[in-house]
Amino acid sequence: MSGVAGASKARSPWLSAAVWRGLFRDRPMIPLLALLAMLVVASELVRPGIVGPDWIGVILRAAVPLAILAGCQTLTMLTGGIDLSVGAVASMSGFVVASLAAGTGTPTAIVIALVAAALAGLVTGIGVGVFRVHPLIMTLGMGLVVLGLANFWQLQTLMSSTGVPPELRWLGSGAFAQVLPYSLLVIVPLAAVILVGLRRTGYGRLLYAIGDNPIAARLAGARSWQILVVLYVISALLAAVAGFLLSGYTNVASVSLADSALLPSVAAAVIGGTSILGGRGGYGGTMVGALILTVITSLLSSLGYPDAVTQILFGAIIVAVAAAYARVTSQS
Amino acid sequence: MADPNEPTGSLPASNPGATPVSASEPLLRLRGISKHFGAVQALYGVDVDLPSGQVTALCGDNGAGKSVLTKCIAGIHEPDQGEMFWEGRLVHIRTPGDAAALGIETVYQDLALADNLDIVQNMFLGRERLSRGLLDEDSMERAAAATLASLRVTTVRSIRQPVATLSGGQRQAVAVAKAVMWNSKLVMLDEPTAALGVAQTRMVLDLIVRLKDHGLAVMVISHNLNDVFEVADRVAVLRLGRMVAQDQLSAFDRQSVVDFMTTGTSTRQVTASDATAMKD
Repeated sequence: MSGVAGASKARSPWLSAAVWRGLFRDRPMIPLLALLAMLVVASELVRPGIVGPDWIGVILRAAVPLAILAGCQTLTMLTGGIDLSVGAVASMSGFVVASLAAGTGTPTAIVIALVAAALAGLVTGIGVGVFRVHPLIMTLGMGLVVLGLANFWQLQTLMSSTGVPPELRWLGSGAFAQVLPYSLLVIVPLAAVILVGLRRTGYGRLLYAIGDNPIAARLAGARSWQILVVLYVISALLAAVAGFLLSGYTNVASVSLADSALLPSVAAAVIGGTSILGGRGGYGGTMVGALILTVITSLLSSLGYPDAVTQILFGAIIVAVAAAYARVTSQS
Repeated sequence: MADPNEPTGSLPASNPGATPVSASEPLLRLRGISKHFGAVQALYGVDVDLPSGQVTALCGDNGAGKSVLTKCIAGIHEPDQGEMFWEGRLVHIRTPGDAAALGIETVYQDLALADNLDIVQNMFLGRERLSRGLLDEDSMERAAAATLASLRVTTVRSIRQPVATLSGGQRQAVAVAKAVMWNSKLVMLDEPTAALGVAQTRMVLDLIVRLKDHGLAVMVISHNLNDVFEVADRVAVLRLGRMVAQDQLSAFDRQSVVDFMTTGTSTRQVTASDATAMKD
């Protein structure tokens, strides 16, 4: 990662630190895509012949739910916030669908899950936007509340049959020609809406402004509480969609389904160049960040190390990449 | 009045809308404005006139109520008592939106610019132009460029650079341009030259004179008496929430302004006019 970048920098004096800094700041996609390409090459070197259509399909299928959850973090981080409730909301949504689908039919179950997620997002948004609770605390607390409610619901439905409905299994784990996963049908339009929304709408512009200088946004007439309430509802709805895909992908209906995806979702946004302090970043980098993390996970597991070693390496790599990124993009 | 959400793009050579109802009627006339915060009385029955085509300097020591008075006019605070007459008409300014609708814009001391957004994005922040639901970047860029050109702000390399990369004077110029782009008739500047170098102060003072020449009413809050005596046509002095002196610049000299700011009276008689009397 950073080691490879550092080595090539040392060999090529024309690639000065300033050039790298400028590259990361102005065209963050180029170094990110380069990093992704290096990881793909590394995967091929570790296991010759592994990189092929099947491998691409596996990576995409795993990366899509992560990229959606990382979208929640990107949007909230742009305003200087964060959404730590996405894991619980995603798990809850997947579980609600799995527990209701047999009785009500899958579409109704999905609508009920989306409404539940939106309500959770509404409470979070009111807490952050109106009562000015710090997003870290508010979403952490809301995540616990949602988890508790999901556990309660699980006890109520213990007797009835729960199972991921076939429609979600199809969407989460099926693929065109066994390569391009059907979940692309979900993320491509979602990503288009997020990208256009951030770049070309007044709402997106205000998200950046609130994270950059909240006072300026207020003096410019922005009603930041309304923007934040809408933002956290959007984030919860995205998390619910990720939960549907994740339950279809793993064929598991559990109230802790997406817990392990929470920190990678933050990491994907940070690696993708979104500042946790707000005001800087975008969704394009986040999607590449999600791909990078998924390839790293696959690479580490193909090395055949024990899980503990994989976890340590994964954590260390995330910290190293984020630190290198922060160093290179710092403006001073 | 023109739609305040429709920026003019450039300043009109003369501002016909700003023509007073009668020659003696100022653009904005405040009478008996009082404001308290809890037990603290910030303003006691303040009277002030802000005529078009003139720069009024609002002076006062720290805590005199300059910022509170500005924020009452800008719609951020609502006065407890008192009346405001805009072009002779009684108005109530309760929100920043009300002030903007009348044509009142404020350049705040902390500049209120978003560092990571570029100049165009900042100038249109919260009032973006749309075309078919999406931001109309081309039209906003043209309007921003025209406004900057009409203020002769030419030192900026690109209007698409983030304001974090600008010098203090350039940032102030962007903040001023943002304020005048909206068909504004009154521009208030809070300490516009604080923390600026000599050359940049010069540039901002020139900018203020240009606003006045365009027929706008300008109010400048300043500690800096050099600035006041350079650009102001009228001086108003606040002390501990009361207006202790208000007159043409010629009625003051530096020492009398300092006297009014610190003691509320001055023994120096520059002219015969009673400095504490309002000129209704």
